[in-house]
Amino acid sequence: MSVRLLSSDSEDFTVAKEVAERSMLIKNMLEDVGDNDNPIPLPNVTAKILRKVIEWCEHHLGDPVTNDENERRNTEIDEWDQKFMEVDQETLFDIILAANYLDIKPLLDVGCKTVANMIKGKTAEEIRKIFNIVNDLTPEEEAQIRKENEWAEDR
Amino acid sequence: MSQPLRKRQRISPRRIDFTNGLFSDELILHVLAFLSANDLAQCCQVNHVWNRLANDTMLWKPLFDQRFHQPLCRYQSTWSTAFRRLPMAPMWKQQYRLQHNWLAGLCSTRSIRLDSLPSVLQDMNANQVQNYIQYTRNVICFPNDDRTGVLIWMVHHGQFRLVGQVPLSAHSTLNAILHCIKLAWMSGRYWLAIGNNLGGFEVWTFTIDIDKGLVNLLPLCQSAEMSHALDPVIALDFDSSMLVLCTLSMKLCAYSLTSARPISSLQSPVTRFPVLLTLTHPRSGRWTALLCFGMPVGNGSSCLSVQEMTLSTSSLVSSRYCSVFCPDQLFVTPGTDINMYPPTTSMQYSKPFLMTAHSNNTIRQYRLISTETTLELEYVRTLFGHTCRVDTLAMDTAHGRLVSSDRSCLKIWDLLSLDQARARRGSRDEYKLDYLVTLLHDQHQLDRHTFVDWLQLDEEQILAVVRPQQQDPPMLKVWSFD
Repeated sequence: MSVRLLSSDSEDFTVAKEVAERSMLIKNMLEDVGDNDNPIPLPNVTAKILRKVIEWCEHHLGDPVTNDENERRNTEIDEWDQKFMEVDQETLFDIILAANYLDIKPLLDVGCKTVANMIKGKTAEEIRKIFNIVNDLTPEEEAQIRKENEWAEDR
Repeated sequence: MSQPLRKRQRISPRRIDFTNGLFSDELILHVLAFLSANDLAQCCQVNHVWNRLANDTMLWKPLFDQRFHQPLCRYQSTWSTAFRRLPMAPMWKQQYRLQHNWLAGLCSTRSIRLDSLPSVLQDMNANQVQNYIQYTRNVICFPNDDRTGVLIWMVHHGQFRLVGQVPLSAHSTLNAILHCIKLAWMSGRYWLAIGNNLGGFEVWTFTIDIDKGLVNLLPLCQSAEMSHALDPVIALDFDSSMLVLCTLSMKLCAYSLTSARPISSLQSPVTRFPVLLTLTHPRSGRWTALLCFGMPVGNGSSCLSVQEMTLSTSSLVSSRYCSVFCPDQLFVTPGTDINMYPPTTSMQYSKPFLMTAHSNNTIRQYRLISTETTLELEYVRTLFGHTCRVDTLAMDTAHGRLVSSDRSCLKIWDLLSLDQARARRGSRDEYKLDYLVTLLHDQHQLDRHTFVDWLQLDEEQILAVVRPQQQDPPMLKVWSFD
């Protein structure tokens, strides 16, 4: 059984049904519409990103599902996923947005963990640099917030 | 992770602020949920949006749970912790910070000289002082100069204010002076029980108004019979309907507060030191009074014993006794008066644990097993870490926290995570030292001896009466972790 998916830039993808069903959004749609040949339109996902998402879903097809919140939080990203996520920031964020839209929780987690790893161990100034963030805090506000969070500094 | 990051930056120098309109708040929180407390503290300082999101209470709840809510304590099931009593939606970050500060020993200190504190404490050992000063729910109280009343001080935003005095009625009628007090908070008001030097007691209730001070002061009950012979009350405990007390001559009495009549009286022939008395109300119509005490048995050794009395409102239902030998011998030069150096200096009981402090620099933990068929004291472990005589102990049962003092420092023990530290030993352990914090009395003069006469703690602070030198007037010192 295969399913046809249509990207926002009108590229037609044919994938195995169990691959497509890694997306809860698509799974629910398929349940609603039943068997038919029409492609499922995905207006929020470009072909470039959809290709990445399908690649990920195919690789992780047999993964067991974990409901343990702690396990989900604390598991490190595996090697294949690390390689998979070695993309520019724009692509990374698009993958996260697509995973969120398509409701693919494990992919969303891997994406968010990748971003979190970019933040880990960095100072506020380094975080601003990494993501080109504008600092809109006044020096007074900054001093106040620093004081509030002093306790958490490594000693 | 630094390697792939550098690579990625080489692939595309384009940096995108995903928090500026690209990601929803929910999605940003999803990213931040994978960060540690230290990282979130940095995130707060990035800009306004990051500050708002990194302070989100739902990010801090799992961090709090992970670090503080899963103690591997063997007795967790029998020892209820405050975490179960936390309000439904507390400020998780503040809670995290408070717990973190305790574990890291991050606190601010200040010392206050309270009038009339000096004269009451003269010639008293720490165990006696423990029954002379009481602290509960922002109220600290101790006897006045001539011990004919109790001064009530309010602790409010770090300020101490004298709000009133509770008189000793037995002074005007029998010329008695007070010898032991106990302050409790029950049913929305303070209850103060005063034991006098004639073996009698009285109970007062009052409330505190921030503006008006001490209000609604009412005498509730006074012991009907009192011997006219000197037999000071050295320990007492009570609830809203029952009071138990122990006198210097080792008479143990129970009273009903409604009739003020004695329910039972037991006399022991042996001297006990130190003495700790607690009253619990395990089920309807039944009270349990526990008298824990140390008893020297010669050669500098001692015994630790527990007398358990089960009471109804009209009679003593049963009385049981158990004892355990403490083998530690005290090293004293021959000829020293052993009574001056009791092997057990201080004790604290919180069901089911009895903690004892000793002259040989140790603290011991015992478990009291009380079932229908047995009463037994089980030795659990010895806490090592002090380098001189342990003088005083205080416990915050709700958080499993124990504070002990010697002449050079205070130590904070996290009783719930002692087991945790043990279970994690050898494994990768981020918080290996969490269970022990040392707070030096004087960082600059380590050889200076500070005497801690009294010690108490609550969720946010440690309070102590200290004398920087033996002859110095006592000061009230506060270590605040908030």
